[in-house]
Amino acid sequence: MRDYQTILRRIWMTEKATILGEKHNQYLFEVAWDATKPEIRKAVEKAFSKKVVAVNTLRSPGKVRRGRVGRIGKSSARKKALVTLAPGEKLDLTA
Amino acid sequence: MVTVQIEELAPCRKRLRIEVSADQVTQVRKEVVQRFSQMARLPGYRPGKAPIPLVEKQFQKEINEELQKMLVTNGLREAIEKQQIDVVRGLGTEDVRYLKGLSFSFAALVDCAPTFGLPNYLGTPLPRTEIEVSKEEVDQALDKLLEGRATFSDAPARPLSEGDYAVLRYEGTIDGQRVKEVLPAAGILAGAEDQWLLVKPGVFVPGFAEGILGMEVGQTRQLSVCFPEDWFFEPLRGKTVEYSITLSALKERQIPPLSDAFANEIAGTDQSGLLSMVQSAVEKEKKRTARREQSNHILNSLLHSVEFALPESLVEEETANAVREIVAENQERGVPLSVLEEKKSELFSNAQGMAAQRVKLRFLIDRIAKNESITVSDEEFSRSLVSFALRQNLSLRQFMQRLPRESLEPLKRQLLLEKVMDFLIEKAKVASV
Repeated sequence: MRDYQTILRRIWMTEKATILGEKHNQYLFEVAWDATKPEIRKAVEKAFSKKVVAVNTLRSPGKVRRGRVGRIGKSSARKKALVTLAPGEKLDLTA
Repeated sequence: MVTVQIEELAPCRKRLRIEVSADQVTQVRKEVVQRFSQMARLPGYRPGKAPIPLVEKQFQKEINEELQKMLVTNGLREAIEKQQIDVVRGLGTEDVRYLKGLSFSFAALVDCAPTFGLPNYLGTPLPRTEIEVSKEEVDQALDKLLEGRATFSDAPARPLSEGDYAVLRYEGTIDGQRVKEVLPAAGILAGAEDQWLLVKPGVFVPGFAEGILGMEVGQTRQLSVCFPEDWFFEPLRGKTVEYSITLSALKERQIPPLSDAFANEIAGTDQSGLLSMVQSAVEKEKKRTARREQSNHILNSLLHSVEFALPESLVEEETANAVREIVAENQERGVPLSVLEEKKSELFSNAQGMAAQRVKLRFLIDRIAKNESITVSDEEFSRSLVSFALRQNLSLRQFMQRLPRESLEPLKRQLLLEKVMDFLIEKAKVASV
């Protein structure tokens, strides 16, 4: 199994993600493009020592972006994982 | 809750060891974090919507700095109020100790107002001053006025004599080199075109006026001037300068006669009206001088009637001001900076003495004003600001725009001093004849 650092890229910290954490005990991560749900579950459990009850994932393919001089580029594709923790478990995102 | 310990370091200097309780620190920290979180811009969040722990983590350093600033300001203010200390100047903080969740402590160094017993300031004996305007004084003032309106005209061809006004073109050389080039700072000592000079012994450079006597218009004369060893312009001390002088014109002064026309021109009145105006101006000036003398007399007697230690920081600040004033005054009189540099220590000790007296007087006047409930009302202050503005030919708005904010306090202080002096003069004992 891969290292949890290579699976969990970063915690997705936005207003919406914060609300999910506060109301539904769900935390959003950016994860490796090829990470599987079981891998993500194990990585979170190992990194934070918390019990994970569900993992939902979604892939956002990169979008075509045009620069100011008309140069065409592409934004990075990414995979996000919405991890639901067991009731009573909390992640300290500021640590 | 603030606890204070006071250490006396000098008669007017204290060290306040202040401790702010943990509860108060938590409360203030909460307020500071709240303020930060309302303004914080973090990626992924709208301003004011980021979670507080995240804001705290992101702006930890800034929050702690702001917290310490607030705690020091509030703690010091509370401590001063609690201990009723009359602080005149804060000198900074030291030993700042803060650990999150614990109390906050620091030491503040302050200079306080001195404690002293007010001397008896009522009934100061004053010499009687008679305000009488003699005819000679009026004549003198009138002569001055007429001289001020004098006109100049070309004199008939004749040799230059004492009392004439000479228009000269001259240039000085030292060992064949032009003074202008060798000493660019020499100014009119080096040379000038169309320089007016009242010919009388001792004016301008030594022997110059005597050396040009008898010249006629258009004539050129060579004059050798040896500058004395104590000459104010150092580079020329002991040097001999060869001047080549040409008399461009010879002028005579015509003083207008006192007449109704003259009186009408300058004051819009007749001769007798002008006389009475001059008389009242002389009388006013004499009254002002008398009041100034009385004030000086009272101030001297006040200053010598009590001794007390003064806050060092105020004396230092006032010394710096006094040095600036002395330097500016000397420069206006044409004393070069190098001369002032030489007399630096003497100048500084003079300024120090002057500053100590000013600070002492300030405390004495403040105490007398407090004792007698003499205050400067806002109305009086604005009236004086208007008069200051008028004196400078400015509107109040223009005057206020040009006036630095920190100058308002000294102006108010000056007004208070004048009111206290009026009171002291009124209560003084004027010697009977």
